[in-house]
Amino acid sequence: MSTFANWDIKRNWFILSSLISRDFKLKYRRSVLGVLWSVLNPLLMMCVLSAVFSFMFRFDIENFPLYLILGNTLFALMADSTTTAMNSIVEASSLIKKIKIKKIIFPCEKVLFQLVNYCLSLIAVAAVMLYFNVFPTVNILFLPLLLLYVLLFSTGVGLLLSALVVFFRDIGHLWGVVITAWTYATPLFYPVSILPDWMMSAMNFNPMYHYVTYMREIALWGQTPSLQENFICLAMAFVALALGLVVFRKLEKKFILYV
Amino acid sequence: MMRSANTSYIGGQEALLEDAGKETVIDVDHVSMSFNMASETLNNLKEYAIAVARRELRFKEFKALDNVSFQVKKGDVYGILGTNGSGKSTLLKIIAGVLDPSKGACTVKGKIAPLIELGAGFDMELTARENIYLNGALLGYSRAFINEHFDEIIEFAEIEQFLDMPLKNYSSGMVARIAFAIATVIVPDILIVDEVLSVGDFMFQQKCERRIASLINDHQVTVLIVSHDNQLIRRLCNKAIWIEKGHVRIVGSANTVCNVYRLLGGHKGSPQAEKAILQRLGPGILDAKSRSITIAGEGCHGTLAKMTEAAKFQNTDLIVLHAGDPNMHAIIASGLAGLFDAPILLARTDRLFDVTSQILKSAAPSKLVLCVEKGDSEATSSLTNEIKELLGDGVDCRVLEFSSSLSSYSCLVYDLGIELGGVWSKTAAVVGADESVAAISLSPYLYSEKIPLFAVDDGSAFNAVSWNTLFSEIIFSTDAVADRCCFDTHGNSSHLRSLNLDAFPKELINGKVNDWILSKRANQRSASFEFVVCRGSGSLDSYVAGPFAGNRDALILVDDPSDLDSVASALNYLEKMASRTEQLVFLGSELCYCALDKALLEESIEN
Repeated sequence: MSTFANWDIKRNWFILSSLISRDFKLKYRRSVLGVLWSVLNPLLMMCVLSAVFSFMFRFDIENFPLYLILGNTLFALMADSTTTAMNSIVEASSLIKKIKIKKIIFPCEKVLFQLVNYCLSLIAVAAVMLYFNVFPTVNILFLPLLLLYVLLFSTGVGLLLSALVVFFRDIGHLWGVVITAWTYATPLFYPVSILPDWMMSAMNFNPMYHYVTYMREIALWGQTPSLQENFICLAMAFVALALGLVVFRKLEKKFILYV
Repeated sequence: MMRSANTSYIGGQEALLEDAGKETVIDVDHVSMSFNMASETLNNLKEYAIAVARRELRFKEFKALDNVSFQVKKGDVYGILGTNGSGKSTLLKIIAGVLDPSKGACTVKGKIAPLIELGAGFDMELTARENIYLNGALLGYSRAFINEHFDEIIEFAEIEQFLDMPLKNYSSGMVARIAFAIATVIVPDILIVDEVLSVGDFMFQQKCERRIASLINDHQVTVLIVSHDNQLIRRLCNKAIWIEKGHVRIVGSANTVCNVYRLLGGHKGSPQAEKAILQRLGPGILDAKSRSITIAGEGCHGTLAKMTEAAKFQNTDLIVLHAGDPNMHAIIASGLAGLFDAPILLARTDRLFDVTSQILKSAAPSKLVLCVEKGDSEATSSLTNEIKELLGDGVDCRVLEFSSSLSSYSCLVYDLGIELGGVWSKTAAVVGADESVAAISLSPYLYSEKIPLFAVDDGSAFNAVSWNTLFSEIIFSTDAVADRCCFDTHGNSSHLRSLNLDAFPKELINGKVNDWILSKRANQRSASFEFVVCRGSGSLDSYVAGPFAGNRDALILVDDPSDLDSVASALNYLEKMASRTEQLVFLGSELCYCALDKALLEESIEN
C-alpha cells in the first residue's frame, strides 16, 4: 500500500531520524543556551581538566588542552553512545510491547544521536585548535573514517549491552564503573610514554587507545595513519559489531517478555 | 467455595462454514503462548544464579493462550470477548506481530494498523505537532504521507489551537484523540482495536465509532475489536469469538456470541448449569416480552421505597424502620411488619434517606419500630431526633437494638409484637443464622401469615422451653437446627416439622421452600401467582423483599446471574411453574439484571 513507506529502509530511516530529532529536542528543551551546550560542555570540561593536570600532575605535552579535548570528546562519544544504547531497549519497552518495530533501531538511534552531538562538539575542538594555532593538515580528511570505526565499535558494544541489560539489569550499574576504569586505562590526560613496558603492551588491546591516538595523529600531530593502524581500528570495530549483532539477534525475540 | 470458570469449547464454528470460499486474511493456527512466571521476577545476576543452582529457572509456566485457532476472512469485523486476563490482548499482540507465539503460527495477509494501545511512543515533553510525526513514523507512515494528512489528523482530533503545546499539558482524553486520529488516518487492510473506544468523551467515542464504521463499510477493512462493551460489538461486528482463560469457548455470529458471553462470561457454575442455560438461549431471546416488571430505585433503600409504593399496605399507622444495610435482622424485623400488615423501610445508621422520609411523611404513622445496631448511641439518637422532627414528638418510637446474636433479636421482636398488641400465628419458623436463602425464600409467607421467624445462632443452643404452649406447629429448616433448640415436647413431637433443607444443594433450597409454601397455601389461594426475583444472599434487596412479596401473595425466586447454578435451577423451577406464573417482578436496576437475564427467565414461563 502506497501510504505506508514503501521500503523497509526508508521506513526505518524515518523512524530513526524521528527518534533522533526527538532526543535532540528533549535534550535542549527549556535550556537558555540550548544547542550551545554541546559546544560549551567539552570546552568547560577541558578547562577543568587542564587546570587540574597542569597544577597537580605535570606532563610534558605540547598543546595539552588540545591533547585533552581531542581524546576526551572521542572517548565521550564512545562512552555516551554505549551507555545510552545500553538503556535504549529497556526505555523503549512501552513501544516494543505495542508496536511491531525493528528493535535494533533503538540502540542504533542512540549511537547516531551521540554522533550528532559529537559533531557539534567538534566546533569546540576547532576553536581550541584555532586558539593554539594548530591548523589541520590534509590528514584531517581521515576523520570520517575514524568516526566510522568508532561508530561501528560503539554500535557493537551498545547492541551487546542493550541486549544483556534486558535480562540482567546489574550490567547497567556495572557499566558506569567499567567506563570510569576505561577512562583511566586510556591515555586521555597522560602521555603513553609514562607507561611501563608491560602496560604499553596491554594498551595495544585497548580499542580506545587506538582510536584516540588515531584522532591525535590526524588532528594534532598532522601524521598520516598507517595502513596497519587503520586495519587494527577496523578489525576491532568489526569484532565488536559482530559480537553485538550476534548476541542481539539471538536475544531480541525474548525482549518483550522481560522489558 | 472456589469454583473456576469453565473453559471448555462450546461450539459454533459450524455457523462459519458458509464463508469457506472467502479469502482468509488472518489465520491463527493452534497458537499457544506461555509466559515463564518464575524467571519474570529474576532481575539480577545473583537471583539468576540462585535460580539456576536450584534448577527452578523453567519452573512455573503460565499459559496465556492454549491452542487457539480461528480464521478471519476478508471483510470480517471480528469482536473478541473475554473477561479480564483471558488473553485477548496477548492474542491481538500475536496477530499484530509484536509477540511471537510459543507454539503454533499466525499468518496475516496485508498491512495492519494496530490500535493496541493508543499513543505508543508519544513523548509527553514534545508538542502535539512533533508527536504526530514521531507517532506516525513509528506506525510506519512516510513523512510525505503525514504532511499530506496532517490537517486531517488535527481536524479529527480537534486540537488546532493547542498544536504547539507539550503533550504533558493535555488531558488524557485529548491525548487519546490525537492517537486515534493518527492511527486511523490511514486505510489499512486490517485494523486492530483494543479497548481504545473507552477513552475520550461521549462525542469523541461516537466519532471514533463512526470512523471505524466507515472503514468497515466504505473500505471493506477487516477489523478485530476487543471491547467489554457488548453493545458496541453487537453494533459493529458480524462475528465474534469468546476467549476464557486462554481457551476459545465459542466462535460464531456476533449476536450469538454476545448473548452467550453476557450470560456465561465470568460467571461461575457447573458445566451442567451452563449447558442448561445455553439450551434455552434461542435466537429470538431478546424479542420483546411482557411477562415481567422491574422495580428499581436508587440503591437498595430506593428499590424498597418503590416496592412499598407498589404494594398496597393496609396499615401504615405502624412502620418498621431498619437502620443500616439490610441483613438477617431485617428479615426478622419484617416479620414484625407482617404482624401488622405494615411496611418496612430502610435508613442509614444515623440519618434517614430522602425517599424514606418522604414515605414516612406521607404515611404519618403513629407508631414506629426502629431497629438499630447496638452500641452506636450517637447515631441512634441523631436518627431518632430526625424522625421526631419529621413526625412530631407524639410518635411512639420503639427502639429495637440488635447485636450479633440473632436468637435474642428474634425473641425481642416476638415480644415487641405482643407488646404492641399483635397476634402472632400459632406456627413458628426456625432457621439457622447462616441460612439466609431459606429465610429470604420464607419471608413472604412469614409476612402474610404473621409467622414469627426465629434464627438460631451458630454453635449455640436456643432456649425454647415454653414453645409448646405458644405454638401448635414449628417449622425447622433442618434437623440440625431443631436439635439446637431445647424445648419441652412432653413426649409429643407431632407439631415439629423439618424441611430438611440440608439435603439439597444450595441452589435448590429456594425451590424447596417455595414448594412447601405452595403446599401450605394450596387450598386458600388462587392458582396463579407472581414471582419476585432477587439475587439472594448476595444482594441487599433480597432481605427486604418479604413484605412486598407477602403483600402481593407472591413468592420469591432467587436468581443470581453471576452464579450459573442458581440461574439454571431458577430456570428449571420457573419452567415447572410456568402455567401458574402470572408474571415476574425483578428487583434492582440493569446492574442486577440485564435485559438478557430477564429475557431468559421470561422465556421459560412463556410457553
